[in-house]
Order: sequence, then C-alpha cells, then structure tokens
Amino acid sequence: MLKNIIFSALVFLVIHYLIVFFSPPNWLGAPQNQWQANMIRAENLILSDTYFEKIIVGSSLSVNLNYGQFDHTWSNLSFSGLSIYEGLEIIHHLEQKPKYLFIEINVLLRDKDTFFLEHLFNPIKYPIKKKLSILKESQQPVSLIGEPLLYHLIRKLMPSNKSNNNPKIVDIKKELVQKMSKDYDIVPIDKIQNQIALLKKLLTPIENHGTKVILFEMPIDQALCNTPLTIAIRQAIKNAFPQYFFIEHPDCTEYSTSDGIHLDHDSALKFVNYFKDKIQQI
Amino acid sequence: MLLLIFSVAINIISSYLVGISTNQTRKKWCAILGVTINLITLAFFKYSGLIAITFFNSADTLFDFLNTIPLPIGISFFTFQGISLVVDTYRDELTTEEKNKFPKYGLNVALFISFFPQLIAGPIVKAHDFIPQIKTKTRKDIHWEDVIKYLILGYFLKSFVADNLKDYTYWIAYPFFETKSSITLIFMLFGYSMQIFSDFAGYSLIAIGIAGLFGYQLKQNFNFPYIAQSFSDFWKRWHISLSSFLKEYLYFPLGGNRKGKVRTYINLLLTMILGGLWHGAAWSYAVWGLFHGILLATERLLQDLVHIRNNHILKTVKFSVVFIMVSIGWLLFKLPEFSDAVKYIYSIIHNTELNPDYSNITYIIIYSTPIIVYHISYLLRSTNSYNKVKKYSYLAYGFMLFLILTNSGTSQEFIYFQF
Repeated sequence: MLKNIIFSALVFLVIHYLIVFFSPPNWLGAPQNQWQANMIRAENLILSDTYFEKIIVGSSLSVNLNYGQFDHTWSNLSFSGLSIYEGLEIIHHLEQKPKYLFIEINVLLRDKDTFFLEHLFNPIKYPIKKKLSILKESQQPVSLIGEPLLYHLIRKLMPSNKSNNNPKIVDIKKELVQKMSKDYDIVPIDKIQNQIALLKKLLTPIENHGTKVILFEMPIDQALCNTPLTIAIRQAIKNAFPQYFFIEHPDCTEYSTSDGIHLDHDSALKFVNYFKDKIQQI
Repeated sequence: MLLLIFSVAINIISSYLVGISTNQTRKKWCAILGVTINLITLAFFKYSGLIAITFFNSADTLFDFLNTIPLPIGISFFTFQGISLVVDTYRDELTTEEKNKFPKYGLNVALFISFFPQLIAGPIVKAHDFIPQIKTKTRKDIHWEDVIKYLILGYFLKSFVADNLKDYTYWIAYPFFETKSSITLIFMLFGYSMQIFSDFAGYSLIAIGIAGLFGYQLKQNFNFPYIAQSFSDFWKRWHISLSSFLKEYLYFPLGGNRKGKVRTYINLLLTMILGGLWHGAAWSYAVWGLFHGILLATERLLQDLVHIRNNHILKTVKFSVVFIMVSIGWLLFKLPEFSDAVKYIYSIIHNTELNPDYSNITYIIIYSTPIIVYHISYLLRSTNSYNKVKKYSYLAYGFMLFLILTNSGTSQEFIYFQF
C-alpha cells in the first residue's frame, strides 16, 4: 500500500510538472490571496537568475507601482501588509545587489515580519524550491483551477451589478479616515528614531555594494497627508539621510484613495507617471 | 516541564494510594484529593486571568499577579488525563495487573500522562484505555498501513485544508467583516467550520498515527461530525474524547438523566458550560457551551413532545439546522468578544447590497471541497460502488500526499493548542 501511495504521488507530481511546463505563461502565477501574492513576488526575485537593476521596496501603498509601466530591468519588492524591512532583508540575500534601490517611507514605523522571512527562507523548502520550480508558490495546483475555472464560474453563478460606491462603503471609508487621523496626530519620537537606526543598519551593507538609494513618499488622503506624524517622519528621514535623493509626495489634493491610504486605480496610474518623471532627474 | 512533572507525581501518588487502600473512606478521600489537586492546578494556571478580570480591579496588585501567570501548553489535556486515572482507579476499572509495584506503576503512569503524541492537544486518553496497552512493543505491534493513512490524512487536513482556509477566514475579524457582503460572510463562516474541523481532526489523526508508530492505539476523536442530524449526535462525533470524558466523569456523576427531566436539563447545561470553559478562559467560551447546552436541552424537549416520521426531507432539514447552528457557534471561537459575534450576524443580515468577494468565495469552496467529499464518502461507505472504488484508495492517498508537497498553506499553530 505504501509503495502504491508513493508511486501515485510521484505520478501526480510528474503530471503537474508537465501541465506547468506546457501551460501558457499567463495561466499560472495568479496569487490566491495577499500572503501568497507577497510570497510569489519575493520568489520571483530570489529564485530567479534574472538581474534587476532597479528594485522598489515598500508596502501595499506601492505594490501596484509598475502597472506594466516599467521595463524588465525593474522589480517591485513591495509587500501588502508588510513593511520595507522584509524587502531590504531579501536584498541582503541577493548575490548581485541592484544598481538603484527605491524605498517607500510611508510605512517606516511598521515592524519587520520575521515569520514571512522565515517562511520564505525556510532551510528545507528554499533550497528545494531552487531546484524544483513546481514547488514554487506560483505553481500550486489550486492556482491552476482557482482563477481560470472556478473564479469565473462563481462570477457567472453569482452575478452582481452593485456599485462599489455604495453609501455604506463610502461611510465606512470616511470612518476609517477619521479613525486614522487620530493615530496620525500622535508622533512616537522614540519609535521613529529606532526605525531610522534599523533602516541605516540595513542600508549600509547594500550601499557598500555600490547601490544608489532613492527614497520616495506615496500620496495619501489629503486629510492625512500633512498630519503631525507624516511631517515628523518626512523630516526625520531628511535629517537622517541627507545624502539620498528624496522624491517627495505630489499634491495630495490631486489624488484619491480607496480607504485613506491606498490610491485608487486612476490615481495610481497618475502617480506612476509622476514617479517616472522624477526618476529622470536622478 | 516542571508542571508536567508535578502533575505526574501527584497523579502517581494519589492514584496509587487509591489503588492500595482497603478502607473505603480513605480510598474516597484520596480520590477526592487527587481530583481536587488536578482541578486546582488547572484553575490556577488557566483561569487566573479570567478570575482577575471578573472579580478584581485593574489597580489591585492581585490583578497584576493573576494576569502574569503563564498558561502551560497542554495543561487542559494532561490534567484531565490525571483525573481520569484517579477516578478509574477509584472505580476499580484498572485490573490488578495494572496496579503493579510502585516503581513500575509510577513509570506506567508517567508514560500515560506524558505520552507526547497526544500531550499537547489530545485526544484525551482515558487511563483504562491506555494503561493496559503498556508493555514492551515490537514491530508487530505497528499497523503500518493504518499509521501511514492516519499521517497522510492528518497532514492533508491540517496543511492543505486548514492552513489554506485560514487565509480566507482571516477576514472574520472586526472591523474587516463589516465591509464584506452577506454572501461572502456566509461563505467565510462556512469556511471557518471546515477549517476548525480540519485543523483539529488533522492534529488528532497525526497524534493517532504517531502513537501507532509506537504500537499504541488511540481512539478516534472525530467521526464525520458534519453529517450529524441532531445535536446529541454531533457531540458523539465531535471531539469524542472530550465529550465522552465529560459524560463519564461529569454528566453521569451529576445524575445524568436519572433524576427527572428538569435535573437532566440542568445537568446538560452545566456539563456544556464547563465543557465550553475548558476550551478557554473567557466568558465567550462559557456562552458557547451554554449555547450548545440550550440546543441539546431544547432538542431533548422537542423529542419528548413532537414525534414526526423520519423521511429524506426531514433528515435534510435536521442536518442543515445542526450544521448552521454549530457554525454560528464557532463564531464565538473566532470572535471571542461577544459583541463582535453579534455584529457579524448583524452584517450578514444587513450587507446584502455589497458586492460578493468572488476570490474569497472561490478559494473557500476549493479548500472546503475535500471535507465535503470526506463526509460524502462516509455516507456512501456501504454502497456497492464505494466498495468497488475502495481498492483504489491508494490513489486518493497519493493525491493527498502530492497536495501536501505542492499546495500546503503557511503553517500556523493548531487552533486547539490554545486550549
């Protein structure tokens, strides 16, 4: 029985490998959830032989920064729900450091998620994934059926024409911004200093490899854009890193968000153009 | 570790004294002492925080002290096993051969209490089931096929089903669920029912499989609970080791159903409230227990008053009612703040105008499908077609092994470790 079980598992692995090998490129790699999206993003860098000259490190605020607007020399190592420190730790693991490193400063105060890094660099799975690509997150069997088959089927079975500008959602968003503005009035000076020190510690070895560091700030809801906290972070960054080029946020009144901090689709595209203009000056 | 050693020592001494006592009164008092020490240990380490919050002011020194007492892992399980040992010895349910000379007896009890496969999250093993199995083991005592099947199925339920579903039921948290549509909330609750079953049943199967590697047979802890057509049936299928423990060591000693209807209902409610509190030191767990107690009592009352002939439609209605009510009860596990659970139900009723979260719903369906198939296979087990297909079960286990390797979710602590 055990031999039959192992043999059939191997057969399924081979079938899966063949499906992945012969599938059209766009069929695979759709993340099932936020965590997996982060893992796929990270694995696309660390398990790839491709060299990326320019890397963006950030949070969910900058996760959609490429939108197909940047060429193959770019890699976006922004992670939804995480901080900038995971991206920086990943860059430490790269043999070849990028030529340019763009760091989002909006989430400076968010702490590093060691669980994510431990999972990514698991001492057993990581070396195996380097050899066996079918074990990568982007090639999970459920991803093959989830997105292409069931997702669209579920949409057809449960059609919905409801507006996303539902008054209830609008009210909740307003409430969210109001709650956040209370948090943005508080300036945790010690925390800012500690995070700056951590950032310096992580950047020094990267810079020693010749990487040029550029800092940038994403626009957020105008009610939060120039609060005591955002001003304090901005100033602390400028004082600590005067040697770095700093792309300041554009006029926040010209941008709209879905929840106070994440740009909606049109605003995200607008910011990409702003960002590209600014990096021409570097 | 020290607490485990203490628990082992107390249970060895108290059960040994119970076993060798010829004086009935002395025997009884030794048993009471043994059970009481186990309960005090459990109460001190597990419920000190709850006692602090309920009875003391946050400015009190005692409040701070009680809140800093740590919760040792596995305490709910090994203290119950200690109680089982003392009571079984008192009831003479252990044979004379098992009441060996003290050194050997001590070692046997130490093994029983600290047996690692089930130490941390069960199944709760009763002394009269385990201690008779203690002897020198050989390879002949290992049923390899069963062990492999338990381990594969257990890891599949845990790493493929539960660890993936958690990424979608994560949004059953305040305030995230307030922006989800009614249908999404219903699917998430359904997904959580599947997740908690897979997590716990998966762990239990792994524990049974590992115990089997050492030649020890542990009893099943789950018996396809989501096909239950009554709440009493559900509790004969869910966390069987706990429900049978509560029945044997609490419900029956309280009088069970032998002391009239009113007393039966009281005994049911009390047993379920205490069973709920066993799960966690928070009043929400007591409410969960009370919820199930009310369901059981109401069911018993209706069974006495109403007699309807069972047919397929009625069976379907009964199964649906049980599943829905049990799932609603799980909300109190996921949302320990009672007000959040109420808000969740409120959101289900009122968020009808919001768009469904198709991605969330899709993956909940995908990862819940194995549980549905698992339960359906049980329902079809006596059919001819099932018996024909059964000889190819190695394909199912091979497929599960393949999915464990290629599609496991990120590991998280077993839900029942917190108890």
